[in-house]
Amino acid sequence: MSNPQSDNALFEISVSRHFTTWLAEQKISLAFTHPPLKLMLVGLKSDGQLSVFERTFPRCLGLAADGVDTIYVSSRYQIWRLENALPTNQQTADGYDRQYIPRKVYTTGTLGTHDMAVERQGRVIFVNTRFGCLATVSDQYSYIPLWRPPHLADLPDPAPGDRCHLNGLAMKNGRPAYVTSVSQTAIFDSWRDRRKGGGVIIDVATNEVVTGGLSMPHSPRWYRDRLWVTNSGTGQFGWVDLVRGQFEPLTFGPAFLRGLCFVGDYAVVGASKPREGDIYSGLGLDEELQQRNAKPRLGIFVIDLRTGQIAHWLFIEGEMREIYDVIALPGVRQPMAIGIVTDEIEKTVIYNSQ
Amino acid sequence: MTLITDKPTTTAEFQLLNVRRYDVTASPGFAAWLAEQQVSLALTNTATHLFLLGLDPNGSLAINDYSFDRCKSITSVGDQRLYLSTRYQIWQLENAIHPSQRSQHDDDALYIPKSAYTTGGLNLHDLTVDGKGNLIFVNTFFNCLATISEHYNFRPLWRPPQLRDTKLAPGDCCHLNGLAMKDGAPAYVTSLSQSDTLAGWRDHRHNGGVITDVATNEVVVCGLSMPHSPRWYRERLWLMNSGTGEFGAVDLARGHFESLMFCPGFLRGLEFVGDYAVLGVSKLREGDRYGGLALAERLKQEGKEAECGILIIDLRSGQLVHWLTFIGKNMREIFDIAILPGLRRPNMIDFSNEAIQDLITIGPPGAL
Repeated sequence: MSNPQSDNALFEISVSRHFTTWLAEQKISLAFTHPPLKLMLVGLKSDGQLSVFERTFPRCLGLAADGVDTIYVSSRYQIWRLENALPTNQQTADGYDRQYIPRKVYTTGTLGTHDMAVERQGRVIFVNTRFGCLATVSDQYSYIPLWRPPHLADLPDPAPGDRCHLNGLAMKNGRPAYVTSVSQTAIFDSWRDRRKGGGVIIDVATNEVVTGGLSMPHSPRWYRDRLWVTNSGTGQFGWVDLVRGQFEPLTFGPAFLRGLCFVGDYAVVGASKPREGDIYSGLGLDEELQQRNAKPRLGIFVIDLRTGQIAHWLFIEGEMREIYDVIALPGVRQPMAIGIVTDEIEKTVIYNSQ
Repeated sequence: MTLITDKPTTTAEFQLLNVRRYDVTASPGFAAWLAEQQVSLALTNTATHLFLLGLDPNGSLAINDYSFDRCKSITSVGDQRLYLSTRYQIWQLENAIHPSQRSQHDDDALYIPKSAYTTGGLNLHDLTVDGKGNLIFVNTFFNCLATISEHYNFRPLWRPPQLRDTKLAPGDCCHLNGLAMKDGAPAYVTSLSQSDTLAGWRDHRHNGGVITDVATNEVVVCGLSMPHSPRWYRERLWLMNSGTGEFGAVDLARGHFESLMFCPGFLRGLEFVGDYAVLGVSKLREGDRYGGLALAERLKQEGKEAECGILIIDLRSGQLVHWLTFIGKNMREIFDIAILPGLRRPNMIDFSNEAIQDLITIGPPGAL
């Protein structure tokens, strides 16, 4: 297996003073998608130094874990399932304690797959943004439709055209519970006009809008009996008061916040950089950044839920400008993965010799 | 900080290297035979080509050419599904056209690669589906029959007697290659030798080949030369004794291979349609690997060149009735054949076709 050291890296990574200590304290690693190219795995070497491992998955977006040994990642027109090949408590010669190998791939066609999540029984659910529905994978079809938001209910099925930019999925008790959508529009591509205040969160079970008026909301997550979400267009992370139907901002991050997971008292939030003219610009976030005289950041913020402060961060400087999703891998110290681009996937053969 | 990257290397990245420079010639009745038998054929060569042979609307032969990275073994499940081994995967291709439909191009099947398991490089040979729908394949690199696994590159199912008591390990010892199914279960396998040491089979190409009964672990025929493609059909075990260029059947009572006919080339890939056998035939490889085989000697004696293509043999007469050959620098070998029953004009989407992204098939709605 050849893992050439990169001599002309696509990007540089820097972290806050105590980021590595925090990873060690929490006993976790992080995985995140860095569109349009990279699945990133961040952990610690045995000497406590930061370990960053990346592999190419073209147009990667959605990322989900089933336990810590199975990872799903979406790419341009496929969804990959990666499985850890290392037995418990074993490490590679280089000290990695997880080796994720792309084990199965589904050809979904181009669905604009966004959030993915795994149900308690192991079924993977994904947000099929192009067709505005929740769906699952199939060996026979591009996808199996499971649920459509009420504002698309009157359209003939299927209804391609990314009409409302359905993007985020919150699971609760191992089942889909809430989705985010940039708008409630039902006309082809019409969500682009509603980026400032058209965003909603919908309860999947009741089909009711639980909160509206959001700006490009992403990454709804249920954690500690609260529904958390990033109101990306205003650069805010917060939670939803479900009784009052109100978004309660907790933290402003100088970035288009998207991608969210939780570790103990902390939220781990992805930070993307808007650029003038793209779909992340021309929003409240721009004015907020101007007022604060702040530059947008690319990377990961670790937010202390008790104070709302950004406690730790990881910044990326490079050509790519987005983070899509981030997951925590509890109990994993230093993960690596086999990629699909070079011949390492052909040469790595894992079998049970018992 | 350690940053590890996987920048593509030009050799490993899949590229369409084979410009379509080849000619095809077929016997005059070949297209009519396809029409009469109501089948289409799928063929792989060992590089990047997958061919579908069917009929044009006017009844003439239609040859569609697709590219998959080192596509080798292929097997069909009715007209709805194909399994195809490639460089490191086994792909499941689904026919997106319902039996009652036709596409706008008059195609009656459109196979789309829908899902794949990563096997890694196993030098996978015969690939088939058992009576319960499970994939079974010959894992030549690990000297075993195997199936796919959700967690591993493969799950071993059966190992030949000489290796049963050793630890499963990589390294081709006996070149286990062919698998005959009977009543939906693995029944017989071919291997080029009974060696238990790495690459041992290379010293036994002239007469070290055996057929082993999977149920009893007994060798039922020995003394074969590079046997391939054992198949159980109409109560007989058919076989290609590739090193001698002979196609025939096995007399199981006498433990003897009975040659039906000599074929001009290295035989590999065998399927049956009604009263006919469809045989894959390849040119001999350069170098000493095939040197000195009875096949090479006989071709020399008869002044024949080995062909690359398929031969159709009438089992009743033992005569070659139809043939199709590829002529071109890169067209040297046929690896496997699959029969597509009931199809007249099948089509396929490969990964070089942008439709792989845009062609969406939607399953019946499921429940949340």
